[in-house]
Amino acid sequence: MSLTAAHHLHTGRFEHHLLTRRQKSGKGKKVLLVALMLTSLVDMFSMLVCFLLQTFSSTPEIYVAKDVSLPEALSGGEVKEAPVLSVSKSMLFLDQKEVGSLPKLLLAPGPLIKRLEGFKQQWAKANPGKPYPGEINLQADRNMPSTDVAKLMGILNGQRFEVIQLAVLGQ
Amino acid sequence: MALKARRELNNELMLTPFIDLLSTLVCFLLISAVWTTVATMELKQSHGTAAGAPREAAELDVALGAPGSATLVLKKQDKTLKKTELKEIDAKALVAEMGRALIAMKALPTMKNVTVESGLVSPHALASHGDLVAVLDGLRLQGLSNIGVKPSGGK
Repeated sequence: MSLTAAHHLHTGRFEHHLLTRRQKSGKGKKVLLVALMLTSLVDMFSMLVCFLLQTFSSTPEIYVAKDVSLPEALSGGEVKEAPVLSVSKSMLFLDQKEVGSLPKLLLAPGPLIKRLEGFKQQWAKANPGKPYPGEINLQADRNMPSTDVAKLMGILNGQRFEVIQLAVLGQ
Repeated sequence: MALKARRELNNELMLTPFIDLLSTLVCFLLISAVWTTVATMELKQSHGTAAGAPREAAELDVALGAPGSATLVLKKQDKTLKKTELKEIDAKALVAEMGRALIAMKALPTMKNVTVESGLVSPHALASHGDLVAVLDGLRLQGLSNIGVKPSGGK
């Protein structure tokens, strides 16, 4: 590749230096030069960083179970840090730990009440002298009967979880 | 006498650390990226005597029926001001109709200087959780700040 060819390719100063050096040492042999196009790489990275920074969210996020399809809502607010009660079609989880089957727990909520009590005691130890805010995040599948959710809310209310944050998909 | 070569100022940007920095930033942002926006809808469930609704303001009771149907009851100090039955094709149409019914209720002569601040939804066995959330969302969008679900089976 000749010097004019290097000019024709609009390569940078460093590439130009490499080309001329190779040409001198190679005594007219054809030289294959592999140069990474740094300008376009940096452009691509910068655009990616801008896009990711725009979509970056510093608010707390909650884990959504795979088989839970959340309902959509327009008036959703920010997620608050609180225990997460997740209800799939048949199973119930508290902070990603299985509590039991939903139909059984609706009839005999003992294990759920025990877990909720344990959670409140832990909170009281960590925050002595402060009243418990009674907040809980509730994730339920959009296709499950609303009466099951209402029964679950009844159990939560009985345990003084009075501020229920229903997880929804925001717009 | 040889001319002294002028020292050139090296004004080239150091691309290697710049690319390193960008790569690290891209990796961090990709890992921490959130692709689905999970939001929450706050329900303040009253318990015992600690009822959330202020006594001076009116409250709306929504009884969900079979999918697409609902009964709206506007109350003020435990007196029923208006009762409206709605029957639509689906939950979406029901929410739209509910908004119109609520506007008509607010325009009643008895509602002068009275605001509707709270709403309580009673679910139905045939209504899904998605329908319930749609109705709650509709109430919130109509300006009701204190919304709740009538719990069943609570102790």
